[in-house]
Amino acid sequence: MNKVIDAKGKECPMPVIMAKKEIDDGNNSFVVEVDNDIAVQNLKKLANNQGFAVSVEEENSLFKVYFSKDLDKLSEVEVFNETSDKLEENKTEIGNWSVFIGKEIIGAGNEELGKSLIKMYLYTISESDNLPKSILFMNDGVKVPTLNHQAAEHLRDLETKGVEILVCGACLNFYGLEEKLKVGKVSNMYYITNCMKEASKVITL
Amino acid sequence: MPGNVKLTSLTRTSGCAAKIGPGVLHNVLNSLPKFENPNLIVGFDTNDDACVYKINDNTVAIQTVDFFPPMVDDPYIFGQIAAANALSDIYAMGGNPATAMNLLCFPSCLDISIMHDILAGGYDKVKEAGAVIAGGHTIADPTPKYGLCVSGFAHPSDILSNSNAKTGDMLVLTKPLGIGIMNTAAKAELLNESKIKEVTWIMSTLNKYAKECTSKLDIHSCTDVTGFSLIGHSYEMASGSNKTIEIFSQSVPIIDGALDYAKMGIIPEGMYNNLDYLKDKFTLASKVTQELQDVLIDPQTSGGLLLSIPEKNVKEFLSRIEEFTPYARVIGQVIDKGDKSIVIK
Repeated sequence: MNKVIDAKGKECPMPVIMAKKEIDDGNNSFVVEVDNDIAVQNLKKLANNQGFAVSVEEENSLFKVYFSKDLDKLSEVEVFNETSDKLEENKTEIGNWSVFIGKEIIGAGNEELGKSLIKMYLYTISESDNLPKSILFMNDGVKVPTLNHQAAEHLRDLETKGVEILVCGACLNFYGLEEKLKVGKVSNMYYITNCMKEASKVITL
Repeated sequence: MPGNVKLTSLTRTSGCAAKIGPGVLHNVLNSLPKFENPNLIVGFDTNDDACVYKINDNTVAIQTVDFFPPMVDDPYIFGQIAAANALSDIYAMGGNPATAMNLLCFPSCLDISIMHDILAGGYDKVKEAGAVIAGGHTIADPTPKYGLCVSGFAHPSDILSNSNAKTGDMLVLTKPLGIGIMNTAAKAELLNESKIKEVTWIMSTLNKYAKECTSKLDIHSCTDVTGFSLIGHSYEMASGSNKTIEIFSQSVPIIDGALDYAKMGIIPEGMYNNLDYLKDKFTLASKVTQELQDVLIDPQTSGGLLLSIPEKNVKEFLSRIEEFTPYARVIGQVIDKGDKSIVIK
């Protein structure tokens, strides 16, 4: 028979403290009785934190919270977590890298070719299975999400896939392009430098 | 401690965690008629920190009231914290407090020296604020409660509302989060002396200094973070300003230990009330852990100022406030309105 800890009428955090004491005393299976849902939620957090499985029975606003260090249940929980993590990965596949675009064209040389190349570049990464975390536009680069219609479309596609498109607000302002922004968020030096700092690599075009 | 009474044992909830949940309050207030007056510049509508009433073209009066049951056992410190918390609303509006009135509920069976100490704590904070205690009201009540009704003044152009944030602003928070969780841990006697001191120092620090650091800087919006939590008060700022606020969860200052206690379930009831009201108002990045989310929604007692500052002024503000606290930092930014008012990154 499981030991029953009566925490009815006790205010937070007392039910948690009483359960913690039981765990610290080495009891691997016990029941805590409480009379409010907040205590139940806090007890669940404690159980999770201490490697216990937990189940709850409710009857007439009285809750019985069962704690057990049941290894089967624990491994079930872990398996579940792993699968859901994997699903998440398949869905997004966003890497921890950023692209910095400071020019309207790729490379130096013919302008028309350069604009077409940047459009192709954005299309290619939008179709790849490893997307950047963010694409950052500064200086002349802000002409891409404003004036290059086809490139802006690929950027929109990237944005819906979860890539952050950040465009320097001061630069838009300088070129008078604020109204022309077709995709992405207006950002600033502070945030853009932070993105660069946090990225494991930054590719500059 | 006088009489060896544990103040916190006389109350169910404590500090700003004792507030009526925002959802409940909202419904009641919406069912009541609204007052209209051309001189009332800031009233109920935007859930601001205090009301602002125009006296003439050069002066507005700012008024607020705040009181709560004890969150610490030392009556003098309780008095300090309650007063700092009440005064804060005036600072959050950009004003300076002038007069304060005591509000005290006190059990008739308790030693009168405890009453003295609570009031002495309040007096000292009002003095530090440069204001005066001008009277008050006391009633007998089994649960002690203390606070102030404060009036202050400002030039109309100095008023900082909570609903004028602009796209591109940076959000700065001046005190660390986790105060509600740490007070809950203190109630369970899990904190040592030095930790209790650290948390009480944070709560009793006046927001006066943070407000003074804004002097002559263009600041778009300001509020203080109290019972409604960082996310709750950010939500009020975002929706009042018709913007979306991004919270950089990994940059938010947090009291050492608060995340660990949150993980253990040492969480005040107020967090769940806040969450209930806020749950459909934010999106959460997958990297934000459960305990970090709990801290972001934890009710704060006498928390810091949350300022929406144009990017060009952020550096200056941070360099000024460095002298007063190690905790102030950029914790978010204001962007154009999106699907949700709050995006936690």
